[in-house]
Amino acid sequence: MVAIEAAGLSKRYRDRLAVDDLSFTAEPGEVLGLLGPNGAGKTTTIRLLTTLLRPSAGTFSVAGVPASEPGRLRQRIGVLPESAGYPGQQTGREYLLYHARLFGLPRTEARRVAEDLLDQVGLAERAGSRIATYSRGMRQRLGIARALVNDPAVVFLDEPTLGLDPAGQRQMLALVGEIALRRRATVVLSTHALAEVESACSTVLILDRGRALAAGTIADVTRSVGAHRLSEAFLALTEAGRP
Amino acid sequence: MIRLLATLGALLAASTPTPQPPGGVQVSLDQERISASIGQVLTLDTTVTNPGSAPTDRLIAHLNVASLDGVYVDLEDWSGDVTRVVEPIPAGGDASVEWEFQAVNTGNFDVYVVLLPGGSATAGRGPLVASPPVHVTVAPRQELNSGGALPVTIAVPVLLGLGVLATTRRRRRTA
Amino acid sequence: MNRWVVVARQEIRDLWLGGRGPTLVFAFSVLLSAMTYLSATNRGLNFLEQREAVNLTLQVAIAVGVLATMVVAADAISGERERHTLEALLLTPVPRRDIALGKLVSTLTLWAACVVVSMPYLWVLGRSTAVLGQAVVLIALVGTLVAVGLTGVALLVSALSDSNKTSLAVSLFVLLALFAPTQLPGMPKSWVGDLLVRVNPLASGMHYLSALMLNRHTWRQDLSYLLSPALTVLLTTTVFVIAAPRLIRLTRATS
Repeated sequence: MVAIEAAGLSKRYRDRLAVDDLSFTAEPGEVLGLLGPNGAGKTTTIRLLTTLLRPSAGTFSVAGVPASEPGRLRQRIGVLPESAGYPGQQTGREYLLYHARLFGLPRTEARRVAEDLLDQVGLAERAGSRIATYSRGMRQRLGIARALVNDPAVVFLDEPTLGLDPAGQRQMLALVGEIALRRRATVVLSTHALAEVESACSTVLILDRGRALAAGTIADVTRSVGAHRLSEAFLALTEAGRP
Repeated sequence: MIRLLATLGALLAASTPTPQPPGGVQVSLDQERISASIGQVLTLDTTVTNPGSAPTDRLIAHLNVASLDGVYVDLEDWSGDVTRVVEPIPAGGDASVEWEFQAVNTGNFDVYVVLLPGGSATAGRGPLVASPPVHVTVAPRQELNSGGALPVTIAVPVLLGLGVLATTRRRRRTA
Repeated sequence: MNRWVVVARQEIRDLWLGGRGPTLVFAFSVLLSAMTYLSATNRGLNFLEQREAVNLTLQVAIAVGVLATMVVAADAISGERERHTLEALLLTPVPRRDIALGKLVSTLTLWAACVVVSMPYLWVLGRSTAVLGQAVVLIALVGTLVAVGLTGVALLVSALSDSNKTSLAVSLFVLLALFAPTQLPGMPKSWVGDLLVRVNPLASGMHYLSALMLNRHTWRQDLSYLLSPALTVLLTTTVFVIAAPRLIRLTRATS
């Protein structure tokens, strides 16, 4: 069973096609890098696959659940949105406990899961502090913890290192690796930072202006355009259609 | 033929009793004196008796309140339902009407009921019938005063203000 | 446990421990204290005027309580959108209807608090009149009917608004537009005036209160005036039950 399957996925906003006839698959345990310049359609793709947006055309399934069952689908996925906000007046522990309960965990189980996750992401000491006092890096880690609260089969991370310092970025990518390795979850990492894809991802899907330009392992994609590095391949692919 | 019809008419008129004007009925109240506190809701039972040999017409009973101290009385404040219809009472029968009113002024008052003719057949004919008055003494109750209200007007916001402070402190503690 | 209960519990915690709830109720109590004290210092008040003071306090308590509740409801969805916290909620398997219900219930705890806070003031003003019991029942039943209906309207406005500012502005405007006619004297005297009162859930609720409190009507006499607030509740509930997935979404512009 594939972890993600999208066929002819499209999203139109009035006269603009944000995602255009996108088809791809991702296998269980894969770390798929969703790469593209700003406005390529990465966030829209993630929002479509996570049922936040309804596609204008096409079909998809995630973790074996078709798009026609959004509630069941959301039960099987975890998401760290790009512009995630956090309720400042809640503590980190309260926030995770709340979301665990929303995913249907009983109170005791939810508490245990929340404490485990806070420990895993390095927030155990600040669990009782209000989120308003967290740094950006801490909030991102809290966001990842929330994305894992339901032990998802597929995790979507939209620009998880945005706004983090180099140390924070390193920590974040290490967490991404752990998610894939220890939890055997499929990870979709959306980013415009090539270095992140090269260090963390096993496969890559390059988008530009809503269309898929290339998909496959990094080596395959690089070879397909005769490049030596992913950055060269990315530039070659994205600049090909531009004047 | 005309003479025959006239005789028949006279005979019919003689056998059908003429409706009585109100003057022939009696109205009484079930109480003579009431002592009440201001705001108290009171009830009064009226009995309208027809001692005559003919049924009454449809009558209107009206409740009235007169101040004995010169206090202005707005009847609507005492009761919103001061006018009632009394259906024709057969000869020798009676009907009862219950009134409910609230004592909204302090002082001494006479409350009484007046019967008015309800049908056009007795229009302009009298006399009207009034019941004996019920003397109602309305005593003042504890009035609203600043001394009584002050504890509440201070205590409630103070308690709630303490609640606001408590939540603020909690927010600071979890920083 | 029903997911809406989980949502409601957290929203209640956020409202009351986060500080907004206690602050609004405190402000509400200061207003009622001022009104009550002014009534009490007016030694010339006779019984009728006391009864009117109770009626006025009742109406102000309902109007201001509904205002506070609508302010919170107006922020419930559009505010979360602006703070970017709605997305995480929408990514859970909780049905949209349950999100709406949980938010509605939590918002109405503010109304419940206003009712409780009103009690000592109504007692102080009404204990020497015979209308205290009636006033308590009226704020609990009629006030709640009006509050539920208008809170539903504010929640709907919040779901449909592009921004929190728009949501607050529209909700406040709606409340003012409904409240203004209640200040015009003798509205129901013509058939047009009566119709305008009857279609206005706030005005018709207030009219019902005054009819019982001041004119001593019976409970059933003016019951038809409660049709408007009841229909408002029914309408907003129906809209949310049917259209919650289309209303409670990430942005208003997208589909």
